[in-house]
Amino acid sequence: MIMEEEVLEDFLAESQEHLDTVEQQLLALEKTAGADETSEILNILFRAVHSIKGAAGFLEFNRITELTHYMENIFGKLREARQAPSGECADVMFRAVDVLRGMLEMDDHGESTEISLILNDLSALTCTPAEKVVEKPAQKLPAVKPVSSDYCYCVKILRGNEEEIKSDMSTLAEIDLQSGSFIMGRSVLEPDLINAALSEFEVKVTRLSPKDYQMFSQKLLAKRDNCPVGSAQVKTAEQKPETMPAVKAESQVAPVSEKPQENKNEVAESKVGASTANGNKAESTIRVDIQLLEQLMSLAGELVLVRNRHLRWAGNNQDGTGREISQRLDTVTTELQTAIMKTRMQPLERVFAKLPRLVREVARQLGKEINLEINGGEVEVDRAILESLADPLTHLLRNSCDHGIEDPETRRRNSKMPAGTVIVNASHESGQILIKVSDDGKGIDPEVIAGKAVEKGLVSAEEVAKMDIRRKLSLIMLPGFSTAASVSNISGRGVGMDVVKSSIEKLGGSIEIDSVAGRGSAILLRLPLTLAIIQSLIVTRNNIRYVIPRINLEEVINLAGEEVSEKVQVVNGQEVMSYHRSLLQLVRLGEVFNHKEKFNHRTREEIALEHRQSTDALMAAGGIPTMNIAVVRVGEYRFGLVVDQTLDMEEIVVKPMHPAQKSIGIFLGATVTGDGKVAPILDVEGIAKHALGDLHYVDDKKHEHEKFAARSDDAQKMLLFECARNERFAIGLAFIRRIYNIRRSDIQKIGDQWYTLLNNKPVTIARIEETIDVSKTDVLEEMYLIMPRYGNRGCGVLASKICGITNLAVDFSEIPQKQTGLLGTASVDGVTTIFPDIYHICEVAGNPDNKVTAHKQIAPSSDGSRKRVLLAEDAPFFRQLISNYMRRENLIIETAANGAEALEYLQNNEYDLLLSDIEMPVLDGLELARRVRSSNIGAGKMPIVALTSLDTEEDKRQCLEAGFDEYMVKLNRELLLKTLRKYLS
Amino acid sequence: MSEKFKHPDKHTIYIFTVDDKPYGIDVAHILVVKELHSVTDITPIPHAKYPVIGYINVRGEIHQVLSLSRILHGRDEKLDTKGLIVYFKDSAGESFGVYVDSLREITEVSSKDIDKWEPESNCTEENSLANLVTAGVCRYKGELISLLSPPQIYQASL
Repeated sequence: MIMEEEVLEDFLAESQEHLDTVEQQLLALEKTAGADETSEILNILFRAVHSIKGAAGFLEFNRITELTHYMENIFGKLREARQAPSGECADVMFRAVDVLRGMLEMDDHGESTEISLILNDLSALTCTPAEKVVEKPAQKLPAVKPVSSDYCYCVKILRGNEEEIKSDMSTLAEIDLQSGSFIMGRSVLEPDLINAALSEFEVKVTRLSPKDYQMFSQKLLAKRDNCPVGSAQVKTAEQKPETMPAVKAESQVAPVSEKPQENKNEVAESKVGASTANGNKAESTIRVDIQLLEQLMSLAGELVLVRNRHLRWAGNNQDGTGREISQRLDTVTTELQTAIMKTRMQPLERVFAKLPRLVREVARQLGKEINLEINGGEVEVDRAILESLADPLTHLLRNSCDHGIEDPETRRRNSKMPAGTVIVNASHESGQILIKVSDDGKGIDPEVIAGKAVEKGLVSAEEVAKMDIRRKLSLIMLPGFSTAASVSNISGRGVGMDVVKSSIEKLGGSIEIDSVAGRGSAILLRLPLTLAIIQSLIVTRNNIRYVIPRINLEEVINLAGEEVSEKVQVVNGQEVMSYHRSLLQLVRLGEVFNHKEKFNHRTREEIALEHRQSTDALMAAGGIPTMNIAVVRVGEYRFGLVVDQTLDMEEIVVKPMHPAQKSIGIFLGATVTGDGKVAPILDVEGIAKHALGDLHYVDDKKHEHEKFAARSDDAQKMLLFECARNERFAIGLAFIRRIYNIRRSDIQKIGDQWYTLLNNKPVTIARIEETIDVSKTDVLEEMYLIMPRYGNRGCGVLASKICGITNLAVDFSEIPQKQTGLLGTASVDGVTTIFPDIYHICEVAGNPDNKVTAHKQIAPSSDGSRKRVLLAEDAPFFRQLISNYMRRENLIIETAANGAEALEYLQNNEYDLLLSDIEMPVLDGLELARRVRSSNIGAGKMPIVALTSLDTEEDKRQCLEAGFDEYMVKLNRELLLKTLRKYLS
Repeated sequence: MSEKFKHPDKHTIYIFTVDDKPYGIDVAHILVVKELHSVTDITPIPHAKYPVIGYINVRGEIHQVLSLSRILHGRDEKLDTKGLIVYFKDSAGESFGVYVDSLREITEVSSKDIDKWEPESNCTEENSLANLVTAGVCRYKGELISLLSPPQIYQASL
């Protein structure tokens, strides 16, 4: 068969679109109550299937023709009865759609496909209202398989009486296409016999070569596409599939029409179809070869690079005209690039459209009731991303339906609606696409996940103990993880979520999981808009430019001077920085480049030591150290990438790495920047794996609610260390300025006091056993000196081993007896851990002659009663710590866990001072201060002091405006005591 | 191209120097030869294979530049703007070129003056790459010039 490739491609593309329509409309039918609406949808269904059948017949895809004919018949019957198909009927139809899709994808377009099974199912359907479901059209269908003896004809009708002509034309073995007064046909009858058979009619029969037949047919087909749908011939074709399997529409002339009355109805229906299915689409859109679009995109990319170079050049060499030309070039390039980018953009609807059917089928298989809500189908994304999204989304939906949504009975027992809901939400945010798949099912139990992960040996129990909820939930994405008790055919094959994760990450995106047990789960996908041209941050290392994709970038931080030594610490050999109240691991880009092998603990330690020494040396020489940190994100993990400089944001064209260097794990690709040079694009995940190990880096960025939850539970980052073997201590990281490595030989004893030199300055060494009753510190070859953030900064606590950092919720309220310098003890991972008061220990060490600091306590009131202070602080740890400090000042301390509680105390008692945190649940410190001031509590004279970890000027301004008298950072004990004395003495 | 260059018994050889030693490459493999305008035009690629100096932009296309000093002599090249980059056709390997110190001449050599090089099986580690990329030896003006195989040079970067 001679066939133009373009015609075939059009057929395949259009057929897939028609099948999409069938799926969508079948789903819509199930939710449609009104008869009018049902009728309209059935019209659309009928036309979609009919269109496939017509085109398939023309192209001689007989199996497709046959199958669509069966489907068309059923839709026709349903349409007559204005009745929606039953669930069973819809199931079979969906299966028929699947079979058709498979046939379309085959090389022979289904000609070798065995379709008797689905035809039997279609035949057996009782979903139609008619007494007889459907005839066996296969027997009546002409033998459309082309044979070598076929002759092609064009029959020109010279005068009326089409009915008669029509009837005699049935002698033709097949009629493929007809157009107005032409009838295209093929027959096994030889030309003489055809002429004889039609001799009594006023027709002219012309024999066509197969090639001419093909060309003529195509022209008619094209004409059909542009003509208003709704001619009588459409109807005729629908009614006579046996003899007219591929009739094409032509306006005005209806040479083979049947009953005029029926025609009237059909015309109206077809017109509706024209407006909904095709409408103006044919006039306003054309199909363009993807290769051409790719080429355009590539050229636009080159133009962007030329533009970037020109702008850079023009920045140094421009006069008025040059500037104007540059600006115009810039504008036009941007617009051109945007326009070409748009050609690659396709709505997410193309992927989302498949989801309703998926959910329907999974729900039916599982006996669940599941509603699917889709929002944001109009959001557009690069086609390369769109194509790669289908599988991950399908998996997520299956998971939600299978593992998330409970069966109706269980839901009822849990006071939920019997039908569960899965919501797919898409939106734009900061140049990214966010897709959230959420459900109101049973949620994911992080402990179950963690337990399974340990059981399968994916992580150790020790590691799990240090994980927060998000980390535990993310274990579900480890390769081979499955929580399903048995493998189902819906999901739970144990290879799913890790594949989803890697698919999303390959696209430069990330995936985050959130869940509340019993309430549901949400999975958030972040994706770039396009893979071809991306926004990026240009950074340098050794004067060479590198690129960090915008999607991986969270923030840029520049530290200088004291900030470097204060904010950057070395913990357990790893450089870290406090970041949004948690720790951020730091990776130096230069060191990543210098070390071809993955970092190990030793490497990290050496790097940290080397840089700390060079910073110290610089500072000692009067220099100002600087540190430029790009805070980057890999999925839910963040770390700081230390670079030489952070330059501009720039649009870059992504080019792949040279094939010979693709195995380098730290680059995603390369680009040509504005200066015409090649800049490698950093693979942030690859760098993390290289420098921090396989995702064993600390997740320190939490969602706001988690931060709050952590605060409410007093979860604090604690440094665990030992002084004597197997005697564990913990100090809050917030209280530590820095940790130094020192050698035994660096420690000197002068009198009873121990010293060492740091940056050529003497520093007092505090031995913990000198203040609290613990074992004597083991002095090893390598020791650590833990420096307090506030208080006696010329003193550090000596430790023999740093055990790590853990996130702990501690409450010392149960400790019966407290020693001075001891905040309390608690069990951490089954090990009894001592929580020393680092300030007190350093204070004692700094005053060797007076083991307890002697200072003047706050005087009582004139009546001899001790001053009363109310402390509003939600974190038990800080409540305990600050209460301890104040009790030493001979004050009566009462504590409240939030602003509302504090307000109640204030309304019922009298206090000399209110000390309040700002961020608290229920009622925050700002509102508490406002209410205190507005209600005249304490006659408006009671001092209110803010004690907070918020330390920006804006925070301070807000506090003072709310009615606070003083503002201070809560960890600075000296300042706290000074302030208390100021207001209470 | 003139007839004499098509003579089957003749080879047109591009003779250049690397670390003051002459080498030759059959021009049939060469796409273009360009000057290096600035040593910073080549962007080093950390973690790349030893022979790779870095990437360079050639009319919007990224090419890999290899060092013949590293391949032949096991030492780093001395990048200089007097140097040249010889880019090869894709038949030799995808988007790549080699840095050479200078062009000596382009000449025709008779096939009978070229001896095919059989790679030594027991070469030392130091000269294994040189052994790999050498395609033959050419006698020219009383000198023996190693003829290099661009496809094999490309292989050295993999």
